[in-house]
Amino acid sequence: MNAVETFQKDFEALDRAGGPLQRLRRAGWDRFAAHGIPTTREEAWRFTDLAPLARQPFDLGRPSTNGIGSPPSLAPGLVFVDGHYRKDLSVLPDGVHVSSLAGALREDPRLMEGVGAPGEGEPFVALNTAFLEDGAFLRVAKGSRLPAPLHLLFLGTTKAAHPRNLYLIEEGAEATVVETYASAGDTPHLTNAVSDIRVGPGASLAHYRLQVEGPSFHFGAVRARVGKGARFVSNNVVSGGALTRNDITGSLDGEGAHCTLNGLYVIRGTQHVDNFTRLEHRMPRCESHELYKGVLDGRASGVFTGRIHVFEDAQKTDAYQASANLLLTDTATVDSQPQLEIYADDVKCSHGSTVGQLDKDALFYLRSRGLPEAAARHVLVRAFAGDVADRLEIQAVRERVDRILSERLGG
Amino acid sequence: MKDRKPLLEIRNLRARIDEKPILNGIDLVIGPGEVHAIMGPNGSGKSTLANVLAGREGYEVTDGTVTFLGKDLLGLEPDKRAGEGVFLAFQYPVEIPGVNNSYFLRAGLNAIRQYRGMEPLDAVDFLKLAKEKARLLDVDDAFLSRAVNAGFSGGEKKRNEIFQMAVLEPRLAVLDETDSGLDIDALKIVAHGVNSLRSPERGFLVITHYQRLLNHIVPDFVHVLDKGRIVRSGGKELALELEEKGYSWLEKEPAGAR
Ligand SMILES: Nc1ncnc2c1ncn2[C@@H]1O[C@H](COP(=O)(O)OP(=O)(O)OP(=O)(O)O)[C@@H](O)[C@H]1O
Ligand SMILES: [Mg+2]
Repeated sequence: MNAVETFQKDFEALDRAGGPLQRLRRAGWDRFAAHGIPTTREEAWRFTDLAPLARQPFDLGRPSTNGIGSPPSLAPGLVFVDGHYRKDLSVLPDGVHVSSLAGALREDPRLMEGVGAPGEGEPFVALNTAFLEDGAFLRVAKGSRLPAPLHLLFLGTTKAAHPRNLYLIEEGAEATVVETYASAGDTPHLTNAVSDIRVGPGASLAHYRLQVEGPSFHFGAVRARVGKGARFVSNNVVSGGALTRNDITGSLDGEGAHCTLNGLYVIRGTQHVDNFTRLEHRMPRCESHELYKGVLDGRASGVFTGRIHVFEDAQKTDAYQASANLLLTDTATVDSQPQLEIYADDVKCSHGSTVGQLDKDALFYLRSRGLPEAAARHVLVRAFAGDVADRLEIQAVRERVDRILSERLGG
Repeated sequence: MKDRKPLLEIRNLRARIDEKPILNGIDLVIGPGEVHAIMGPNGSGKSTLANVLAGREGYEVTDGTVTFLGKDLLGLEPDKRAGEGVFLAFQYPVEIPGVNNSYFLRAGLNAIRQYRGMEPLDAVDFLKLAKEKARLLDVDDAFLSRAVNAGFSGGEKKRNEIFQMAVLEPRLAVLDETDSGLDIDALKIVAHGVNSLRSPERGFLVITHYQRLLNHIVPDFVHVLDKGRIVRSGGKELALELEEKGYSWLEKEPAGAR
């Protein structure tokens, strides 16, 4: 069986169970089935060849209580294995309205209505919806504030996992959520995660997404709708996965909304990372700041697409986008492209993209002061990644990124 | 002075860049405690010599030997040369945005200490040392927290080189036109920094175009480099003569006055 046949078999089994989510799942499956696994003939997938995925079947991950190796956890939080909540491994923070999505759906089966539907051109969100069962659910009530970052750990084994997360940050509320995606072993698996986010008027969410998986196929969608005067910050860090595609969307739905997208990927070998970001300026006086950086070693390949869509009503938009890539070898490659669609006339919109190599003179300067080559390279790569890394406000995350950089560079 | 083994011994050094010969047989011996000055017209190969000593890429040594404290220097990576005690103050110090000066210098110092089998300095001890040297060179403490040379004025960069030298305490310091771009006060400060490091074990190779520096850092020997060869050597008075008569005077004089 190939991948699609396996998805179909597992979807049909899940569908037979029926239940209140059946309609939504069927809509998801129909959408996915109509699209299929994207090919490089599609504009949005031009540089990411999914043929290896199409050939490889991954059975659907089921709830289990299997032991797993020591999970690389950052702090107390919720743990998911193959997309399913593991009560036995989780430590729920006090005083926070957080639970598994499966649990939340049992209480309110209509929770996903109006948030869950996959849009046009989102085949993997559609696939995730077809398998919608579990994930994390967070509600931060109006005017309140999460006392500490909420940590969510998603572990993959050998299966297909489709975790679905829903964060509702109500009016004036504040929260920080850290999603970490890791592998329980070193075998391939499939992660197809979707996080749906609502940031209410005047509310604020800092969202972290760390992908440190083994040789996985990883699809990650973040779909944030940002209300009037609200702030949304996405920090997207990738060092794992054999093939990664992230679709990060910030929709600025209310006047004066603010969205920051930070991205950093550090890859080597034959790893491939494709970050597709979308900023949708729908209302006046919204701001967006975007900075994506990549460090590529070996024969790794990277893709960055930064789409900014300024709608007709979005006067006084202020959008800034930059992407920079550092190639450590001649065999690493990068494709980086801004896509601006501007339909309002009074806007400030700037973008820039660079691809470069380590500065030889700087390398020699460091070595002449005693630093061995690997250490000197590390210093320069850290400096390159620095302006993104230093924006990560959680120290534990920053340290993790530093660890990734030193592991990757052998400094 | 019991041990008169030379610090640096350069024999018949020939080097080229992209097939173009630049150094055409250099012989130079620097003993411990000595200060040698090298002068010579633009393009004569002074920086090339300095870079070959420090191990910069892009130069092909086609003949000759360089021995540093009895070891074959040319076979060592640049960082190992630093570990052995070679320091180059660059003619054009490199800007490294995003790397903090004090972090950079501590990493270098500790790498060198590790090379020598010494314990690394922790942040506190390093800061103490750095501040002491900063005072010696009249360098503002704020220097330490800025990015390496980024946005530094020409003079500040040169002063930063000497500051680094003071922290790293090399056995042989090669100063490539450290005086160019310095105002009169800065020149005195830099010279004072160099002089305070002069010691019976340490050697200096000072590349300069101007006699002025040599008033402050008084050399034991002065050499003139021309077309990749040392064409004249002498005492400090040679520099005065050059200042007065220029390099063309040498061409008229019969060579071989070494
Ligand atoms: N990377 C390079 N590629 C090609 N030629 C080079 C390179 N570096 C130096 N040269 C050439 O080598 C010769 C010597 O250069 P070098 O920098 O050693 O001179 P210098 O004596 O230090 O001059 P200055 O007094 O102007 O600093 C020059 O002709 C120069 O053009
Ligand atoms: Mg020069």
